[in-house]
Amino acid sequence: MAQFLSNTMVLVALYALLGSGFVIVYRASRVLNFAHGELMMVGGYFAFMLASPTNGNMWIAIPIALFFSFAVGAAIYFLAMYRMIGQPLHSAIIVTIGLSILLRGIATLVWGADLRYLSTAFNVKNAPHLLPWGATLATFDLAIIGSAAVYLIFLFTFFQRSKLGFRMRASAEAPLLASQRGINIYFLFALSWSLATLSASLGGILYGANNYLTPEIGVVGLAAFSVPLVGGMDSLKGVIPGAFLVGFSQNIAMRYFDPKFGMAAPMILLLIVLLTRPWGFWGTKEEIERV
Amino acid sequence: MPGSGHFKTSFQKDMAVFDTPFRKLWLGILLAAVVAFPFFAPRYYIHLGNLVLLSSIGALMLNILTGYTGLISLGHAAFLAAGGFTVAALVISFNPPPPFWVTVPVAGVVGALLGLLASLPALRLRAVYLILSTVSIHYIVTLTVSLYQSGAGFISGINVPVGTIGPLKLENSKVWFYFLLAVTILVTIVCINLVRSRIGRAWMAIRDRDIAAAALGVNVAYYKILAFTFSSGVTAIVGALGAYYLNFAAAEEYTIWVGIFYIAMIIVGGIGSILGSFFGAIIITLTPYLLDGLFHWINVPPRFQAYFFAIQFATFGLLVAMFLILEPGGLVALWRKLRTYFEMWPLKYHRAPTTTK
Amino acid sequence: MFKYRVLISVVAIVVLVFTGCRPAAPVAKGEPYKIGMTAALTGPAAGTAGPEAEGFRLYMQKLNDSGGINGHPVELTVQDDRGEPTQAASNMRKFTDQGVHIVRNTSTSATFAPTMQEAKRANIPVVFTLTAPQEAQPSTPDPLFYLASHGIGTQSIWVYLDIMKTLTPSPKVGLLGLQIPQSSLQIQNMAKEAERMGIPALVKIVPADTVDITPVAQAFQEWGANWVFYTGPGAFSTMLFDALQKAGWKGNVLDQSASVPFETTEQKYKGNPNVFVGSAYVPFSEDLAPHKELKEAAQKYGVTSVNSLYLIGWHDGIVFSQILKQTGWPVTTDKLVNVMQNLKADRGPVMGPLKWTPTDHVGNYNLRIYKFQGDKLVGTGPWFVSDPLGQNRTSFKELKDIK
Repeated sequence: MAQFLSNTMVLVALYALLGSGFVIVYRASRVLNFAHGELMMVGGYFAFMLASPTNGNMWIAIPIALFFSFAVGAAIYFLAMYRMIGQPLHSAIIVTIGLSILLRGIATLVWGADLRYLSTAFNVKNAPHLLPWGATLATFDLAIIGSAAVYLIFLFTFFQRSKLGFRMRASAEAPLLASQRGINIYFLFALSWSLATLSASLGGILYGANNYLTPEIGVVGLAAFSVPLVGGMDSLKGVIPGAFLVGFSQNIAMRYFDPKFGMAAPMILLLIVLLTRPWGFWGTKEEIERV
Repeated sequence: MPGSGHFKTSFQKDMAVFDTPFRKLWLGILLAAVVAFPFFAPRYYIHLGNLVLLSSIGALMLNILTGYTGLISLGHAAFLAAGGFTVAALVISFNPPPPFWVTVPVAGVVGALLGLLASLPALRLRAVYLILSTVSIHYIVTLTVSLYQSGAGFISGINVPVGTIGPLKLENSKVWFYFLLAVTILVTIVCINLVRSRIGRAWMAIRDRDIAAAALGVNVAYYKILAFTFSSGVTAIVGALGAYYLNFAAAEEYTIWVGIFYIAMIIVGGIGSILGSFFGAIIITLTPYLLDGLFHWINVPPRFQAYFFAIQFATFGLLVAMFLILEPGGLVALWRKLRTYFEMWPLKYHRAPTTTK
Repeated sequence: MFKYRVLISVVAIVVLVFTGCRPAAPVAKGEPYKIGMTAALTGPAAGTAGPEAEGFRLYMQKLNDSGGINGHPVELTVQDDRGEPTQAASNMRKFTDQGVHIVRNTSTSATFAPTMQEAKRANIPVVFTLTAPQEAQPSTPDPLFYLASHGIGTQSIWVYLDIMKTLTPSPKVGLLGLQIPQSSLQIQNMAKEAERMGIPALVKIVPADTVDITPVAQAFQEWGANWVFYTGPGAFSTMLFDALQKAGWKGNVLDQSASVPFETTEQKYKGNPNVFVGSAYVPFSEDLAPHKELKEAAQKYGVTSVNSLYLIGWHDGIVFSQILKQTGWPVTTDKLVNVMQNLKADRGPVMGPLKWTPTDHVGNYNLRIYKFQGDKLVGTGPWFVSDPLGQNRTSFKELKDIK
């Protein structure tokens, strides 16, 4: 049982990390970012690409990879999402879908479809560690939990305490008023996209190190989609309980019911949420009227 | 158009879809070209034509649902799957298998019922949340279908025999082309008239501002259910026809990407426009093949051949994204701009007919 | 109108860049032998199918540069089907329009039905890769369908269980399959076989898009498995083993070298005594003549790195060239089928000979177990040879003794 809980916590942490990216982007651009999974995958590949130039030094390669992804996020905003302002919702969503196809194609082109292991690339053994409560988790399992925790704490403090975070919340909630107060909302929206891409890359790097890297791992990002849907598309607070619900429902289905329903369990959960509280358990109710 | 010298002298003429002789001429040319097409084209191209016709009807139905009624649905693949698998289930459950003209309508009915179920969330949810309910419907249906397929012991898909309508055997690509063309024309005529009728106006009212529509006495729930049922039923028929065309039904065929591509079709083509559905279906269905032809024609050296397909895949995504960024109104908007340009030529603009000085 | 200029210039640049490239003229002259290959070059199965297709293409290129077959060049058309049935159907129709003589399918089992439909309609033989549909299996195969290279098959399952029994006195096997036909069916067959052999087995079938395999790993661990086995596309074997090792499991994994390349497994599990790899071909580490040839060809034609999966494609190329050589010219389906139904192809020292008979279109299955000695995977024990119907279960024949 302790083992099951610990393993599921790793999944929950990964989902929370990825889910937060969806929420940030939604608050800024009001769009469902279907390319999030692919951004995760690309981040992992950035780290892979940097493995040889940095001689397998993970502590140099990973920050550089994160920096690249930060830049990529801003680029995506300015090249694509900026021009979709004012366009209907579905167009923007299709743009992100097109983007995801593009990224997958580019990844297959540049890095090939073969399997890659980030742990091997950085020469870090993903060794098991026995934990005080009887469960065993590997190095990167713990890294996922740790990074997700650190990142989410950072996000919360950023949005609640810092001036920049305040402004981001303001421009997400009332863009017109915020811009009239002199806030450069476009810069802040780009920042949102960069932050989201950063979190996606981090997730991708950790997943690549803990599991493997192929151009298809974007499906993990898509599975994480259910997290903000359950927790509330515009609620960062809801990401954590959302991640818990999705992660646990998935693993309980896999372990104690039939594994075939493993990936369908979050879908069923999603349907229940949609029929009862569509705006998610922690989302703002007016969201639904506003759209 | 003002000053064109063309007057509508009767109510009938006013209501006609193709009003000017010019338009009738072009329609005639188009029809003639399409009918003559299978005689000149190699079999592969006729096959592509069939795929385009099938996806046009599907796109048209999605446009009715999403473009005219405003109910954005990513679950289109579910209805295709329902149609295809109803046919498959009927064909393997009875010996001798029921004929084509029985299974296809039954598939349509099944699809309509499924659409009825799918419409229920639509009565409560809007936009983003509606999209998500359609996504979960997609996953539920495809899961059911794939469990059915493995449960029935068919490894790689269920074989569907050749369809026959009376003496007509639907076997040859050419025969299929004309059959699908007839079906497409029929469906299009129905849709054009639906859209101009009371039902269509109700749909558009719901799309634009459903609260106001309700205030004006439109039974919103009824029309939403109607939209879903109608579009799902016909989509299921498309799925059934597809199963007969390829002579098999496989659960792997109905991925979420199919639904996404259909949405892409109507958006790239032009949402809320019948012509747009066709444009979109043609572009999205054919682009991979066009790119393929382009790359083969350009003769990329063998070194790069391995990268061919990744490039094609990436280019497809790029085109879709770029197109939407540059022309969000879709191909129909482009078409209209083009037409206006030619109508106005050599002038660039004309003064508005009502002047206030 | 600026944005339209952007759109048009992008398209123009793409076209111009590629227009500058022209292929080298083939060395052999004359009417070509036409081969069509439909492969999952992009999409989920691309990791496995891509290299296999590429190996085949390399062999055909080498063949063309050294004069072709019977003096005729070989024209290979490769089409991506992304593992999707509709794409495969379109590809097959394109091939039949082009008049190909023989087709190779290197893709997922979802593409089997449309490939076979069109092949039957156009009367063209198809050779599958690694797995074959029911129509190609003994003992009443369709004359048009064959299997040249082996993944796990119904007849070879017992070999894996036999190996586990030999290496561990009382094996308890955890069997993992994906919820796709080629995987779940074989896992279930394996479970039945295990029951027959008196080996306890636990079967878990997971969805193909599973994100986290740890619950299943935990289930196996708690059940007390000391072996795990997976068959199917993708890296689930290593994912499962990793999940188990992370939890401190001390059991063994029997990995099939057809899903994840030999070299990748070798690099990842350096020196791990619990990893066993079953390989149907001699890996690169033994550096025999065909390995050298393949590496040369790869370098010559600009492929940056090769792994064992390329070997499979390369050897299928050898089989195809022998089929076509024996058929002569001109090519008709009847002649081809005649040759293929009685084929004895020598695939060299890496894969051994291939034999097809009218009742057996898959040939015998060779398997050798590799385990770690130091950092390298080294063959342990001799080659198992499983006869086509899995009935004659005498194992332990040397590779060169295979007739």
